[in-house]
Amino acid sequence: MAKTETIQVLGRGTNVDFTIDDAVPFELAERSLREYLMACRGLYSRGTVSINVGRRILAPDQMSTIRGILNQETGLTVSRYWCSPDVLRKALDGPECRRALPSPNLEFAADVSAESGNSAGFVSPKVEQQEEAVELEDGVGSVRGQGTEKGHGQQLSMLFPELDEARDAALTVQIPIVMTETVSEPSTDVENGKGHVEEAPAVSGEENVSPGTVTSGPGSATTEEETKEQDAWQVVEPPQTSSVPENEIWSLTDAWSTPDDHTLLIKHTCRSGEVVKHHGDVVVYGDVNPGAEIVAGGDIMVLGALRGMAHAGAEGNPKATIFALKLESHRLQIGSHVGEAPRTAGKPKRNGRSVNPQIAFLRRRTIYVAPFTQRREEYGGGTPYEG
Amino acid sequence: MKGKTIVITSGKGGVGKTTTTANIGTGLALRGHRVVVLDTDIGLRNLDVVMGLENRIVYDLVDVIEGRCKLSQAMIRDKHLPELYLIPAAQTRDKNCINSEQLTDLCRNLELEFDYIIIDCPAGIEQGFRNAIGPAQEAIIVTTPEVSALRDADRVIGLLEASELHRPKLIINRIRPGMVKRGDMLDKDDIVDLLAVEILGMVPADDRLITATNQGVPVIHDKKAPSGLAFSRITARIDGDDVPLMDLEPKGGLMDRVRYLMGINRSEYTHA
Ligand SMILES: Nc1ncnc2c1ncn2[C@@H]1O[C@H](COP(=O)(O)OP(=O)(O)OP(=O)(O)O)[C@@H](O)[C@H]1O
Ligand SMILES: [Mg+2]
Repeated sequence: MAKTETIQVLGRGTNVDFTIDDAVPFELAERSLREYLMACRGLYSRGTVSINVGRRILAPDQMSTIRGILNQETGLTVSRYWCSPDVLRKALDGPECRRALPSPNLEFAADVSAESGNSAGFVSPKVEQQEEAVELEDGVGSVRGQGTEKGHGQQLSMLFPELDEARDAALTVQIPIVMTETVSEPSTDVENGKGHVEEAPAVSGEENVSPGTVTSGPGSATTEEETKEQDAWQVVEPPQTSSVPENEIWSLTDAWSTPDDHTLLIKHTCRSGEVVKHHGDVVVYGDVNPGAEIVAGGDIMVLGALRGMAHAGAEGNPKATIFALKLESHRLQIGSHVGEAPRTAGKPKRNGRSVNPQIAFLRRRTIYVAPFTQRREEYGGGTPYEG
Repeated sequence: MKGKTIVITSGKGGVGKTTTTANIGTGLALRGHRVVVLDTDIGLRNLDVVMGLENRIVYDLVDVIEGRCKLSQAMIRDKHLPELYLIPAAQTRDKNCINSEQLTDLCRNLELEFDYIIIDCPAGIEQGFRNAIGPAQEAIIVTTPEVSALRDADRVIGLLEASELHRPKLIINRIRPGMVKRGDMLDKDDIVDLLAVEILGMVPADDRLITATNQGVPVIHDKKAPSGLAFSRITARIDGDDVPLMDLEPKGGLMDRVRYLMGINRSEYTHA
C-alpha cells in the first residue's frame, strides 16, 4: 500500500484501486499521479487499475489523460472509473433518469479499456457488466475497510444503507451512462462534465426487488420531493405478491388504490397475503397480521395489533410515522429506511389483550419506536430499530 | 327441509382436514342426521381410507360430474351408520378436471335430501380449494398450534372472507397440553388473538386417533379416546348445542395431575 497526499492506492493482486483526492485541482491530481508512478516505477508491470474519483466529475479528455499517464509510466490499464454517488446522482438528475433510481446499488463506471481512443466512456447494460457491479461493491468494501478516503466510505454507506443487504440479495441495477462527445469541452466546471444518461431498460434483478429494499430514491430532501411524481411510482412498485389473476377473489387489494391522498380506512383484519397500497394515510380498524403488508405514502395507524409489514412515507417522506395499539412487527419501514426490532432474548412475551400504544418515527436515519402519549411534530426517545 | 354444506379447509397440508371431515361427518350421523362426506382432494384421495371404505369404491366424484354414473351410484354407505354416505374423489385425475359451478350444482342437489354435506378440501389455495369452497355456506378452518399452519390459516380466512364466506370457525388440532403448559406451544388465546375468529374446538394430539385411522374407523367411535371426545363435543356445537369450551388438561390419576402441575406431564390426554 502506498500513499501520497492526493493519490491513495490500495494494491490488491492484479487489480489496484487508485483513489484521487477530489478537492485538489485536476492539474495537481494529474501531477501527483505522475510523480507517484515515477516514484514506484517497476512496482507495477501489468494489471488493471480502477480509479475512484470521489466527487470529481471527469471530462472525457481528463479520463484519457489519466489513462495516458498510467499507460506511459507503468503500462497499467484502467479497467474502470468510479465515483461518489453524489456525482452519479447529479449526472442522473433528469426526470427520465430518476425513474431508474430506486435501487441503492448504482454504478458510475466507464469501461475505458474497451473504448480505445474514443473519448466517450460507455457502459452498456450487458451481461458482462454484472461483474463490474460486484467490483464496485468490493471497491466500496476496500475503501471503507482499510480506512483510506474515510469520508467516501462513510458517505457511501450512509447514502446506500442497504448496500450490504443489496449485495446479499444480489440486487443489481445497472444504469448505462453515455458520455457524449458534445459535452467533451475540457473544463473543471461541474456542469460541463456531466454525462448524458439514457434510461435503463428492464435491468437484471429488478423483478427480485423486494418490498423491503425498494425505496423511492435517495434520502436527500430535494429528491424526495421530486419523486412524488406519478412516474416514479410505477417504477418502485413492488412485485405482485399474488400469482393469481386479477378479478378473482384471490387478488385482494394488490394494486395501488386510487391515486389520491385521502385517508384510507380499512375496517377489517388485514390477513396474510393482503397488500394495501395507498398514496395517503392509512388507518386500519383491526389487526395487521403477519404476512400482510401496508404501504402508505403518508402515515400508518393501526387500531389493533401490527404484526405484518408496514411501510410509511413510501413516497420518500421521512416525517411519516407508524402508530399501533400493539406494535409487534419485527420489521418496519419509513421512507427508504428499514428497521428491525431489537432481538429480545428468550421467548417472545405475550401481551394478551392489553394494549401498549407505540409510535415509530425516523430520527437521524434510524427508526425509533417509543410509547405514544400524544401527537407531536417531533418525537424523541424510544428504542432504535436498526436497519 | 334444506341441508347445509360445510367446507373443512386449512391452507397448510397435513393438519387434519380429512380426519376432521371423517369425524364430524360420523359424529353428525351418530346424532341422527343424514350426512354426506365429500372428498374433493382429487388425485390424493384419503377420506375413503380414513373411513375404511376404499374397497367399496366403484364410481367417484369425477364420474358423477362427467355424467358416467348417477349421483346415487357414487355414494358409498358407511359400514356402521346407514345415514352416512361418502362420495370419494377420483385418484387418477387432477383438480382442474372439475369446476366450482359443477360442484355447487351437485351440493345443491344433495342438500335436498341430506342435512349436512361436509366437504374435505385439499391443501393449498389453488383450483382445488376454489372448487371446495364454492358450494359451502359455512367454513371450518383446521389448524395446528404452529406458526406456519397459523399463517396459512390466516391467509385462507382472508380468502374465504373475500369470497363471502364470513365468520369461519376454527378447530385447533394436535394440541399437546403439556407443551402448552410449559410454554413450548402456542395456546388457544394466542391463536384466537391472532386469527380473530370463533373457536369451535380443540383436539389433543392422540395416539388412539392414529390407531383408529389405521383401522379405518373414525376415532369418534372410540369412547376412550380423548380426541374422539373432542370431536363429539365439536359435533354437538355444530349441531347447535351449547357445549362450553374446556381447556385441555391431562386426565388420570394423582400422579398425572402432579406431573401436569409441574409441567412434566407425558400422557397429555383429555377432552375439549
Ligand atoms: N389429533 C391428532 N393426533 C394425532 N395424529 C393426528 C391428529 N390429527 C391428525 N393426525 C394425523 O396426521 C396425519 C394427517 O392428517 P389428515 O390426513 O387428516 O390431514 P389433512 O389436512 O387431510 O392432510 P392433507 O392436506 O394431505 O389432505 C394423519 O396421519 C393423521 O392420522
Ligand atoms: Mg386430506
